[in-house]
Order: sequence, then C-alpha cells, then structure tokens
Amino acid sequence: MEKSLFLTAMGFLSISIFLIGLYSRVSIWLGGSFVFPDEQEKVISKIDKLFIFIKRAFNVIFSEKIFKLIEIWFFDILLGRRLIRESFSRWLMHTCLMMGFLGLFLYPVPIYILGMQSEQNYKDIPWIAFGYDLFSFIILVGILIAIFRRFWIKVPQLRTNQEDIAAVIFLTIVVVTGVFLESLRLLAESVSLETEKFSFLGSSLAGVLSFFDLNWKAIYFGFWYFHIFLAFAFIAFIPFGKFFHIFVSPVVMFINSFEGQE
Amino acid sequence: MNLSDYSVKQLFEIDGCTRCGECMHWCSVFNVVNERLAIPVDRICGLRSVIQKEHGLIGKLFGGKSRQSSLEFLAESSYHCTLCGRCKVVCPVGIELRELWISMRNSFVKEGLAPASVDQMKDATLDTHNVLNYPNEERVIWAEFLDGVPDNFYQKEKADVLYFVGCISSFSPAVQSIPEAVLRILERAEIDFTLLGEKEWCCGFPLIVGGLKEEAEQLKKHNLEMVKSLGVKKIVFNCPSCYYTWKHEYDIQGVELLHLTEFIHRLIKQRKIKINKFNGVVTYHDPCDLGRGCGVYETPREVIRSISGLSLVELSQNRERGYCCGGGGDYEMIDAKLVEKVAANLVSFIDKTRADIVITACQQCKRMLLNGVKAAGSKVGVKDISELVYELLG
Repeated sequence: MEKSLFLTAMGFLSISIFLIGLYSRVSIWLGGSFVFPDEQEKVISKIDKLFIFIKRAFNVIFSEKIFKLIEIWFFDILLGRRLIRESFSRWLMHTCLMMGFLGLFLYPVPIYILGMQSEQNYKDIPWIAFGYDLFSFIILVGILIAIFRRFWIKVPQLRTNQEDIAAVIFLTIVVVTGVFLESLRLLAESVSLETEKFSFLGSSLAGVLSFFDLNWKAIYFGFWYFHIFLAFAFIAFIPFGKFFHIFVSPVVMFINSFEGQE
Repeated sequence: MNLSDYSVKQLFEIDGCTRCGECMHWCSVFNVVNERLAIPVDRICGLRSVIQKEHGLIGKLFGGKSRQSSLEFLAESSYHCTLCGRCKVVCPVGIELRELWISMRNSFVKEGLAPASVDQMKDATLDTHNVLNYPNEERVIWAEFLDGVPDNFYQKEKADVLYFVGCISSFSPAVQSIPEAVLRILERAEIDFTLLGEKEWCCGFPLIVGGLKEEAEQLKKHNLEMVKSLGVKKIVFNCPSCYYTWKHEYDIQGVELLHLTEFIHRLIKQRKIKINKFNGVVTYHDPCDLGRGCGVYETPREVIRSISGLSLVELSQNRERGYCCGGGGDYEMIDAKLVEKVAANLVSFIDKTRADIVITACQQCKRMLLNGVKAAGSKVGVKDISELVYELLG
C-alpha cells in the first residue's frame, strides 16, 4: 500500500474510533441531571443539554471572563501551577509529557501550512529534524520520571492499575519507535552529515545500528508502517484510556473556576 | 446506577480524574485508617468503572451490569469519609469531590445500598426533629440550670437576632457550655435576641450529607417558616454545619446569616464587648464547614488576636488545608472508633505546636477534640471560641 493511502486510511480509522469513544463519553455526561439557575430540575433531552453547554461556553468566551480563562490556561494548564504546589517531580513529569506532546502535535502544523513537504523530505530541514528529536527526548524524560515514580520508588499515593500500565507502555512504544524510525531513515536515505547531526537522537542510534550490515531500506519501509499504525492507534485509544484527561481536565478547571457565576 | 443521580458536571469531572492520588495523600481518614474503603481515588475510579460498564459503549452493546460487590464497596466507601473537603482543595484538576461524595451517597440511598445507620438517622431526625433522637421539647434543657434565665427561656415572639443553637449544642452535655457562653455574650452586648426552643428543628445537614436531600426539605421548610414569623434581621449560628446549610441550601432573603465568630468579631469592633487580657499560647483548629465550606478563615483568628497577652501559633496545616477532627459527614454514626482515631491524629499535630489550648469554632470539633485528647493522652485544653470570649468578658 502506498504511504499516503495508508496514512489516509489509518487517519480515517483512528479518528472514527476516537469519535465513537468520544460519543460514548459525551452520551454518559449528558445523561446527568441538569439544574437550571432557578433550581428547578427539568427533564430535557441530551441534545438540548449539549446546546445549553455550548451556549454557556460561548457566553464565557465572548465576555470579560475570557481573561480569567486565559489566566487558568497559562498558569494552571501550561505552567502547571497547581501541580508544582503538590509535587515537583510530578510537575516535571507532567510538564515534560505535555510539552513534548504539544510540540510533536503542533510542530508539523507550519510544515503543512507552508507546504514544505512537497519540496523535499521535510525531516531533512535542520530545525524540523531538531524539533522532532527534542520533543521526543522531552517525552522520554517524562516517561522515565513516570516509570521511576510509579514502579521504582513507588510513590505511595499512586494507585497503579492496568489502565496506568497500558498508558505507560503505549506511550513508551510510540515514542521509542519514533526515534528508531528516524535512525532507520538516516541509515536508509542518503542524508548529509551536516543535516544528520540535528536529529541528535536518531543519529546517535543510527551510529550504533550502522555496525550491523542489514538492508536498512527495507527495514525502514516496514518499520514506517509499524510506527504510523501505532501512532494512529494511540490517537484512537485516547477516549478509552487514561489520556482522555488531556481533554477533560482543563475544561474541569475552567468550569470550576467559574463555579457560582455560570 | 442511574446517571441522573449525578449532575452533568459531575459525570464530566469523573472523567477528569488523572488518578494522581493527591486526594489520598491528604485524606484525613485514610491517613489514619489505612483502608481501601477510605481511598478517595479508588472511590472515584470505581465509580467511573461502574458507570462505564453500565452506560459506556460495551455496556450499551452488551447490556453490561456491575457486580453487586463493586456497588456495595462503593456504597460503603462513600460513607467512609468525613466530607471535610480537603481532597477538593488539593485536587490539581479542581474536581468538586465533596459534592461528588454526597451525590454518591444520594445514589446509593436510592439503590438501597446505604448503611443501615443512615436509615436509622433519617427516621430519628424526621421523627424527633433532631439528629440525636431526643425529645425536641428538651432543646433548651441546657439553659434550665443557668442563673438569671428568664421565664420564657429566651424565646420571644419578635427579635432582631435569632440564635440558632443546633442539635449537638442543645443536647450533647460535653458541649452545652457553648450555648451558655453564647447567650452570656449576647446578653453582655445587649443584643435583642431569641431562641426557637422546641420550634427549632434540625437544619437538615445530617440528612443532606447523608444522601437524603429530599427528606431534609420538610425540616428546611419548617425552620424557614419559624424565621419568617419572628421577623428577625440576623441569624447567628455557633454550629458551622448549620451555618453552611442555611447559607447554601436555604432559600432565604433579607436575613443576614452569621457564624458566631463573625458576630463576635463585629461586637468587638463596635466595642459592644470588651475582652480581658489572657496570658497563654493557643492554636486554632479550622472547622471544615466554616473554613473550606464557607471560606471563614481569618475572622476567628482576628477575634483570637484581639485578645491581648495571647499568642496564636498555627498548626502545620491550617486554613484551606487544615486537618479534620473526624466529626463531619455523618462518619461518627458509621464508625465512632475510627473517628476517635482521626481526632487523636489531629491532637498529635496540635501537641506539636506546644499550645496550652486549642481553640475551635464548632461544637462538633470540640466534642471530637475532647475525645481525641483523651485517646492521645494529651494535656492540651480544648475550648470553643465562644467559651474563651465568655471567660474573658470584661
């Protein structure tokens, strides 16, 4: 299968599964009771509840409350003000994972907007190669702290279940295979040394792998499909596992900061 | 499990839990009992799992049903909590956990899974109109042997201020000195006040937090009617739970609600009472429903600091993060022994301050602290702020 076709198919499939999972969650939320400001509980449909919430969200966004929202977004979500109050190691872990992910997801946006990929392999552009490896490295640091806290020092307050283990394993595999993929790409394609050094993780690993005389082109070809499959599976998995808090927790923070006002 | 037992926001919040365990780390009950039943994070995740199983994708497709044992565990767990609200303060996501635990209780009452003692408490409160199941005619029994008590036992037809005594202060001998102190302060300040006497019914707090919000309606309705008939301008509470309930659950307008500490603070400022010097070191224990519940942290401290000669030392955890005495959330009726341990744990922190006296502003906290002092073998004195002020009245 051609790479672009595979990307499209996997993208469609993963987004579909993601949306089904999201629908299931939203359907549960809207099954809850709804109290109107006059304290009279009325029986209203799920869709009506959804529209009321959307309307309320717009009322907040298009009012002076937007500044409070920005403050929460910047200090509590982006900088993790509430987390650092409780535990530095947890804050560091969370910040690494969040910043790394934001970077990996947002970094390609200008690439697609500028249409750079049509000119050349965009990962050969030094700042792009460096950015990808930097954000992957940040995530790996976050994963290591998470593993250290949860499985090594066993922070007493952490309750580990299958959901947590699945999350850590999934995340590790996706990021590690990404780094491997980059190293295989460097081995398989004729990338200049000048460019290669910017992929500092990939080139280091490629240096080790280069001792083995293998058909790197074929391996890279197969591994690319494997990594892309995992990356999209990760997206599809989000509404069914721990990572769903990425979307919900910030909104909970927003809602509760306006408690009593809305 | 019926989803409508929870609000849309609560169901949303459940999905926002990151399982960080901060609530567990700070839980006043878990830190003492060390049982899974008292782990807040397990409670919220257990609830999420039950909801997913019954109402999630798989549940909808295959008609998922939760195991009875899971529901029973959650029901029991939801009552293994003092509803002190510390978990809510430390939750990095800001989930309103206290309200969620109450909704859980509400849901399990409907499912018939709440502990039997909840039903007993409901029957007693609705029958006798007080949570302690005493004849309500004895509401002012504490005043019977006081000097200079008027024939009407401070019950007037009209007054400016209503002093709402609350069930525990009215009936529990260990803390009946609190209403005595309050009325002496009111007398000294020449306040035109009244008591409701036997017409005072439980505010409904034990029922509401026990998951019986609808059952509390008749109590609320009665109390509101009584207040309206008196035409009072202010209601003063020494019980933070009554104060919390009136403030958050009663639909009352045109009447000012004040906790006793706020009222005393005002009297001091207006120079209506004068407080003598007191040499000693005290610490202040924040009652949960007054502090975290109503946001009153500084006023009691200002009253204490206004006493010359007195030195106030803070507990290592105070204000928003203040410890719990164990006496809230109907937990005492579930397991009185464990509650005593929670109180003894608090006393161990109080002892570290080396204070001579621990001051609180809640009759239930005082009761718990007295038990805790005994259990911990401590020598610290326990006083309600009203008692301290009364003893030092100039």
